Amino acid sequence: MPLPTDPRSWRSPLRGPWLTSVFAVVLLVGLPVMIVTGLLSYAAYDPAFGGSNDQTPEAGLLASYIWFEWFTSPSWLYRLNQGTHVLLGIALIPLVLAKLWSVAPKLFEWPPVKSVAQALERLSILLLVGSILFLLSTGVMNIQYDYAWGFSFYTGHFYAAWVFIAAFATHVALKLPTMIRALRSRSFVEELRTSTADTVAEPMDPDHLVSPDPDEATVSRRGALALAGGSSLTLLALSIGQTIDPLRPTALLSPRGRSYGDGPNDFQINTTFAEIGIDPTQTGSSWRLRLLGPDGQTRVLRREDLLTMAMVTEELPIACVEGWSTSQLWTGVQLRELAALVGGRDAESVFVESLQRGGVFSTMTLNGKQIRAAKTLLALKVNGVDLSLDHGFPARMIIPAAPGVRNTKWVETLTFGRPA
Amino acid sequence: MRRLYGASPWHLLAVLAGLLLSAYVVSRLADNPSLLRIAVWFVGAAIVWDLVAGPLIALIDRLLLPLRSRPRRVSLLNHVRVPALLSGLLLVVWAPVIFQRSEQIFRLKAGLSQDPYLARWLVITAVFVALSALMYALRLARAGRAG
Repeated sequence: MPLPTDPRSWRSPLRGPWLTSVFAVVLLVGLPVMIVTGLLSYAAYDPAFGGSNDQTPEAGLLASYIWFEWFTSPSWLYRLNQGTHVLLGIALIPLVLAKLWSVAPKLFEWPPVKSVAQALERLSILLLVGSILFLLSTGVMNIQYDYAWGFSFYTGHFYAAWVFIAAFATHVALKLPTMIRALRSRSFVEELRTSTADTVAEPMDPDHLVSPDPDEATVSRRGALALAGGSSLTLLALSIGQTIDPLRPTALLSPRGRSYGDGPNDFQINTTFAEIGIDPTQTGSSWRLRLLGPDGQTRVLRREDLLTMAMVTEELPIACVEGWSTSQLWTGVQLRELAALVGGRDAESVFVESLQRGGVFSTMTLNGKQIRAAKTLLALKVNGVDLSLDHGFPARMIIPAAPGVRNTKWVETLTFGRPA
Repeated sequence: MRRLYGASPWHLLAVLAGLLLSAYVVSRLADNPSLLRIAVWFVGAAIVWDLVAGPLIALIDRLLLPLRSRPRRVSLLNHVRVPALLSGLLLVVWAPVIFQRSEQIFRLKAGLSQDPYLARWLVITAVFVALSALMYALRLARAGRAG
C-alpha cells in the first residue's frame, strides 16, 4: 500500500482545483460574515468599560477597532448578529471539512519543504487550519456548555479568531487568482449536467490536487456538491429553531430547542436561581433597589415603590452570545427614570450589581446610550406576570440590542457614573 | 529574490503580514496561564482532523466500496454513504448533548436535562436511513422496469 506522500495513493477522481475552488468561493463569502459578526459581538459587550464587560483584558490593539459604544437600536440587532454568527458557523462546518478533504494531498506533499516561501506559506496554512478548527470546535462546544478545553471560551475564541483573520487574509491574497482561474476552467452548469458515469478527473494541475491515478468515479461532482450543500442545509434546518420562537421545537438537537411549558415565565433560562446559590429570603420583602448617583445622591426603593412609578411595556429579545434568542413582553421602569431620581440623567455609564456574589457576569456596566434608550427597562414583570426567580425576580435589566448576558438578573444596586 | 526566496515579493509581504499579526496575538497571551492549553487545542484540532479523523473516514469509505456491485444497475454505495455521513456529522456537531457531557452544567444553566438528545439523534438517523432505503427501492424498481 503506497504512503500518503505518494501522489498515487490519492485516488478520488473528484479532487482538483475546480472543485476546491467551488468550496472556496462559498467560504470566501461565508467566512467574512463570520469575522464581521464575531467582531461585532465582541464590541457589543463594550469591553472598554473593563470588569465583566472585558473578558480579554490583554487584547491591546486587537480591540482598537471599537471606536463606538454599543448600539440600542434596532432592538433585534444583537439577535440578528449572533443568530447569524452561530447558525452560519454550524452550517459552514461541512463546507470547511469538504474544502479540507479536497486539499488533503497537499498536507502530505514530499519533500515537505522546497523553498523558504513554501515553508512560510505552510506555516501560515497550519495557522489557518488550526484556527478554523479551533473556532468551530470551541464554538460548537460552548453552545452546548461543554468546557472540556479548560480555558475561558472568550479568551480562546477571541485570540484564535485574530489568528484566523491573519491567516485567512494571507491565504486569500495568495490564492484568489488561482481560485478565479480554476473556476473559469470548467462550466458550472456543465458540471451540474454531468452524471457519475461521465465524471472524469480534472486535467493535471501545478498544485498537485488532481490524482495521477484516479479511481472510477462513484459520485459525480454534482453529487459531491449536493452532499456538501445538503449537509450544510441539514445542520441549518435542525438549528434555526433555537432563534425563531415559533420554530423552536424543530431545533431537535440544540440545547435551546426545548420547551419549558406554556406559562408566561416558560421561556429559555440561562443561569437558574439554583445556580447562583443566593438565599431566597434576599428576594422577598426585605429586597431593596439601591440607586447611587454621580454626585453621591442615593435612593433606596422597595419593589412596591417601583410598581408605583410609570410602567412601560416593550417586546424585546433576549439574545445570547450562544446564538439562541427568544422574544418576550417585558414590563418595568425605564432605566432613565431611575437615573433621574439620583441626578444621573446624563450619566456616561451605570454599574449594575446583582444579588449574585462572585460569578463572571454578576456585575455589568451599561453605556450612556443604553441608560437613555426608551426601551431599556428595569423589568419587574414578563408577559403580564411577576418575573419568576429563574428570570430574575424581583427585578432584572432588559436592554434593547444587547447581548443576553448584559441583562443582569436579581438586580440590587445601580451606580450611575459621572459624565467625563 | 525568486531564486533565494522561491516566490515573488508580493508573496513574502502577504505571508509576513499574516505571521506578524499572529505573532502579535500570541504576544498578548504571553502572560496568560491559558496560553499552553489554547495552543494544545489549536494544534490538536489540526492533528485530529488531518491525521486521525480524515484518514479514518477515508478508510471507512474504502471498506464501503464493495457495495458498489457492478452487475446490478443501481449501486447501493451512495445510499449507505449519504445517511452515514449526515448522521455522523450530526453526531460530531452535537456530541456534547448527545453523550450528556455537560449534564450537570446544563441543569444549572438551563434547568433542563440532556436526556432526550441521544434518542432524538437515533430517530433522526433512522429517518435518514429509511428515506435513503426508500429512494434505493424506487430506483431499483425504475431500473427493473426500464431493463
